[in-house]
Amino acid sequence: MKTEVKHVDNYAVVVVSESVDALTAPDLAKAITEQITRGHINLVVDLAGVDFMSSAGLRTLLGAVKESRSNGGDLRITSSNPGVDKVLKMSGFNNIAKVFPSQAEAIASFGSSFMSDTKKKIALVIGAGSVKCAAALGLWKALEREDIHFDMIVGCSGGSLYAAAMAMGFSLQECIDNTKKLWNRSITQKRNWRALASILLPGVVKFNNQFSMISDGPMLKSFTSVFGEKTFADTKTPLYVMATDFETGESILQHEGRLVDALRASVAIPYIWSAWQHNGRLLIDGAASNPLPVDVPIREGVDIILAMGFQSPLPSRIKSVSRYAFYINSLMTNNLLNANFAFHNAVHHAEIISIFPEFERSIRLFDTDQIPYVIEQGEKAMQEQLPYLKRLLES
Amino acid sequence: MKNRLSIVIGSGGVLCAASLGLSKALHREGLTPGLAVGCSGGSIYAATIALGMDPDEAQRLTLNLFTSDVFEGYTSNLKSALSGETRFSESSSLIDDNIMYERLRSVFLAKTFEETVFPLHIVATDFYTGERAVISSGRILDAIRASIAIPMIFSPWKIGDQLLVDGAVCDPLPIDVAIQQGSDVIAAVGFEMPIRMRLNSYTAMTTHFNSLYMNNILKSTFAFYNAVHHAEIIPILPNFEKPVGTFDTQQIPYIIEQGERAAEEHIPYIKKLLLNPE
Repeated sequence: MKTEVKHVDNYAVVVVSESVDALTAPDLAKAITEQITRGHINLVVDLAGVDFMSSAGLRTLLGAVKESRSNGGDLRITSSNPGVDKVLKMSGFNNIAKVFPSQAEAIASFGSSFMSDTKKKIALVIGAGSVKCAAALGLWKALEREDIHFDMIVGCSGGSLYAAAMAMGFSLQECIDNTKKLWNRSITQKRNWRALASILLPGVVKFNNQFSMISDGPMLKSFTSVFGEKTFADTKTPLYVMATDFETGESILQHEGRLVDALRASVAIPYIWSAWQHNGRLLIDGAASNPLPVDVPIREGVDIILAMGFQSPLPSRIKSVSRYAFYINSLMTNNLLNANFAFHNAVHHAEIISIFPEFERSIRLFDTDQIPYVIEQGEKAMQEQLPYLKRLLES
Repeated sequence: MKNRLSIVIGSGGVLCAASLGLSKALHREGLTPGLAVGCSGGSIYAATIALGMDPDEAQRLTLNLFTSDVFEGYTSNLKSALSGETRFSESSSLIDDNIMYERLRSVFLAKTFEETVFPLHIVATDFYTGERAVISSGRILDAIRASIAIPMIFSPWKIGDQLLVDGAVCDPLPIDVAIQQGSDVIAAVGFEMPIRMRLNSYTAMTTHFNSLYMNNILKSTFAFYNAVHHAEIIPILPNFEKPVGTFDTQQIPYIIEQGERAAEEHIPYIKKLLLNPE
């Protein structure tokens, strides 16, 4: 392995070549630490000349990203070697660090960041959890009393509805009122008979990839009654909504366009609602790839991340094939949540405060009458973490 | 001397046979692993390797495990389950496991984990909690049967008082087991489930969703293991130029060949690591 360091303005550009592995990675770590110690906290690491990157090499890079962020800077990557790109993707690197096609673009990206001032940034991430996501309103209630505001809000699936309402700047009371409009029994009441027929009589009614048990008409109407034609550009706080590419399973982050489109895509729970065609992609539930998208604020360099997550409820009895399929999906959503969360905790440079409200009653997918109780539990869970959050903000 | 090399073989149906190629390449260089971990299809090959079977013998024995007659009855069972004619509960399945079980038994007989040349661990999933279950004792046949219980296709399998399904539901490439056992150098053979684009039936759709989830769990767990392991994980990723289905048994010789080729690329580095005193 060879490293060469040059400086462009105050940015350090570290050009690496040959093999980054267990035997050579310590030298790379040393080279990067040296730059950070000298005050070059914003670095670009150019991997175009690297022909092999091992897991030890990746770990060194992850450590270097953390180190630069802890010092108030960032480490960004440029890479054009497809072999190395594949390794970066496989190991989740692209989700938590910023990767650019060229040195020039990586350097230019430092100027435009919303993170450029030094104040501590807070993000709220509301994970998938349908009705339980209303707990985010309780969390908000607790923080509003303390005059604590977010620099970024991220939502996934059910969580995206609350993320959007909060990012739009609706008052707490408006949000509570809107919840009743957004997620109530009426949106689940229109059975999709055509789809049911396509399971039972596939020869008569054609089965296609738009299959869903429930028709989405009432849901679209209720989303539109709250958000109308509003777009991401209309939000007061930057908003990100997570969805999943139906064909490839990749997580697709939405940050532009109509809110209603982004929300409809993000809540497209497999089997229940059909995939949503948007910007040339067919999108489904963000929970299929990234149920609690903590990686979004990590990548943006946010310091304190409040992560409100929920385990998917498991149907208590399996009586049919479709229940079985849904049961396995819930198991896997929970495992995906745990695996992602473990990774995000391992790589974040600052603090992730996890707020997982406790519910003594069982709350199922559409138990909307439980919302007041859910909000209360969310407030309680936030209240417990509040002293620590305040200490972090003051430090 | 502590043996520092482990082999982890993830889920992937017959693609897992690629691990025999890795085993061949290691054997030629005089490198012996000290631990094998397997999940789902990978548990079959992890077991043959840990039992000290010769790779050619293992190839011969596993060649006919999953021929089409194993999947008999699928369509008619599905029809009656969907129409409600037969009840479908947690112990149900769309395929009767008799043929498959007998085939596995002809390979593994009544062999136990205690009879392996070096430690073997097989990963399954607790059906009720979704948590990882690591099986390291008892009959190997039972452990494999639990680990390959593909949801809905094969019924879950009871070991002790635990009901177990496919390990891929929680940990498709269980590198964490090798980390927990203190391995330094981990050669990991893993596969993404192939994605089928034409979804013309309800089951194609369930298979599709399961594949998306398993692939995402694979990526997330791999990212985490990579971030926390103290030493080196070497992914062995065979390159298949022609499409190979997860139950395409005729392709096994080709799969093994590609596995061997992918492993050979990493042999010099593995040797260097094992020689390095750290």
